[in-house]
Formats: sequence, C-alpha cells, structure tokens
Amino acid sequence: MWRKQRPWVEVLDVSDNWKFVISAFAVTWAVLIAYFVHLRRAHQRAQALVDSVAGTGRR
Amino acid sequence: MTNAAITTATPMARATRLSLFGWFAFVFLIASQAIAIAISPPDRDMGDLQKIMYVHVPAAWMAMLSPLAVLFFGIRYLWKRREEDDLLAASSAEVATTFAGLTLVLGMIWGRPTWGVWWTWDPRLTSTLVLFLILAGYLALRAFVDEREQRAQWSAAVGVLGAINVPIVYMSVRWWRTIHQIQSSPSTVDPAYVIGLRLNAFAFLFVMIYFIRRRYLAALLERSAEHVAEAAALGGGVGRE
Repeated sequence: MWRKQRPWVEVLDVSDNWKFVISAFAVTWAVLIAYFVHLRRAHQRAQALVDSVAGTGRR
Repeated sequence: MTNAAITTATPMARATRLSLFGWFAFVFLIASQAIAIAISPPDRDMGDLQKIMYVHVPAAWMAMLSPLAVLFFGIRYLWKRREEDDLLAASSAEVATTFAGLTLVLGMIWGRPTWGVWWTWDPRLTSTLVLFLILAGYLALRAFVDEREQRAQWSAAVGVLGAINVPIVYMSVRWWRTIHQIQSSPSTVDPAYVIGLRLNAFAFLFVMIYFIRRRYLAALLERSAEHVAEAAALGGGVGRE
C-alpha cells in the first residue's frame, strides 16, 4: 500500500520492527498517564484553593 | 450555604459524570488498540511498523483538531467576553500541546526505522514543530500575563495564529516536496487497516474531550477561588453565610 508513495521502504530491514512498535505504544501511554496525573493534581490543587478561600479547610 | 459552595457545587457534580466518561474513554482506547493490533496484518513493505499508525495518526489528528477548539473558543471569547470561553480555549491549548508533542515523538519513533533518521527538516515535520511551539508560546503567554482580560485577549490572538497553522500542517504533504506520506485517511490506507484506524481515532477523540473537560473543571475551580478571594479582599462579604 505504501509502495507508490514511498518506494524507498523496499530497502528497509524490518527484523527489529517490534522494538519501535512497542516503544511507540509505551510512549503514548506514558504521555497519556502523565497528563492524566497532571490534571488530577491540578484539580486537587484547585479544590484545596477553593476550600481554603471558602474557609472550609477541607482537603 | 456559602456563595463559594454555590460556585463549586456544579463543577463537583460535573467531575463525577466526567470521571465515568474518562473511564469509558480509556477502556475504549485499550480495546481499540488491542483490536487494531490483533486484526491488522503486517504491511508488505513496513511489516509490523505499520501498527505505529494507530497511535501516531490519531494523535496527529487530535493535535490538529484541538487548536481548532482553541480558535473557536478564542473567537467566542472575543465576541461575547465570557470568561468560560477563555478557560475552555486555554484548556484546549494545553491538551493540544500535549498531543502535538506526542505526535512529534511518535513520528520520530516511526521515522527512525523507515527513513533512517530521527528527525529531518521536512515540511510536514517542521510545520508540526511550529504548531507545537505556537501552542507552547500560548501557554507561556498565559503564565506571564497577570491581568485577566489582557491575558484572554492576547492568548485568543495567539490561538488564532496556531489555528492558521493547522491547514498548513495538513496540506504540507501536498503543497511541498516531502518524504512524509500523504494524509492518512480511510481513502488512502489499505482497507485492512481502516477499522483499526477509525476505532483509535474515536478513542483518541474521547480521550481528548475528557482531557479538555477535566482541565476546564480545574480551571473553573481556580477561577471561582480567585473570585471569592478578590471579593473578600474588597470587603464585599462574599463567602459569608
């Protein structure tokens, strides 16, 4: 399917492809999870800010 | 009930509904990736490297879609001056930056075994890098400008600039000589890969929507706390019974 667009791929050595595939999926999940954790912390910080301003002291 | 409690009650209720959507999005993503990997045969030329398409292409689509959300909310802010639109634009920009960065890294991982280099100053790669830098600049601008209205106006302008770059990124593979393949879509990829690509595109879309909504809720909480603090400092009595 790619040959017309990318004739140079015929010379590729595809023996260690899985190393790159696994890396790609691992990087994807690492970024998504890291961003999720970042959002969770941002939400907790914001909630703590609201509680402290409102004087409830709830954490 | 205090006014502060009134202002935060709605975001808290939204957060519960949003958590369910978040679970759905991530479970859908796991299932989509598993199905795509299971059903797609190795490509004739690239072998199993083709499977990187299921993360790289959807990430790239989200990196182009979310700046359009920045544009939409930015323009709506300039039109209606609603603070919520500014916060939605900022939330979309943060998520767009994440997906643009992810797209670049995944492209490098795919480029190394197929092109032989991690990076080259190709029009598609360069324009995507420019998009990432504009989005990073958008976030930096918001961090540096304290005055709320000025920050919203300036960042809306930068958001428009970032969105202008999106069609350039998309069309770069047709407008210029490039080693990057033409746009991946159901009409340009082999039918064997279409279902996997579609599933993962929707999964990334759900994750993107979840991220934007979640960031927006946190921003709403921060902003309501700022409002209460400002009102209290002015002696307006906000926050009292």
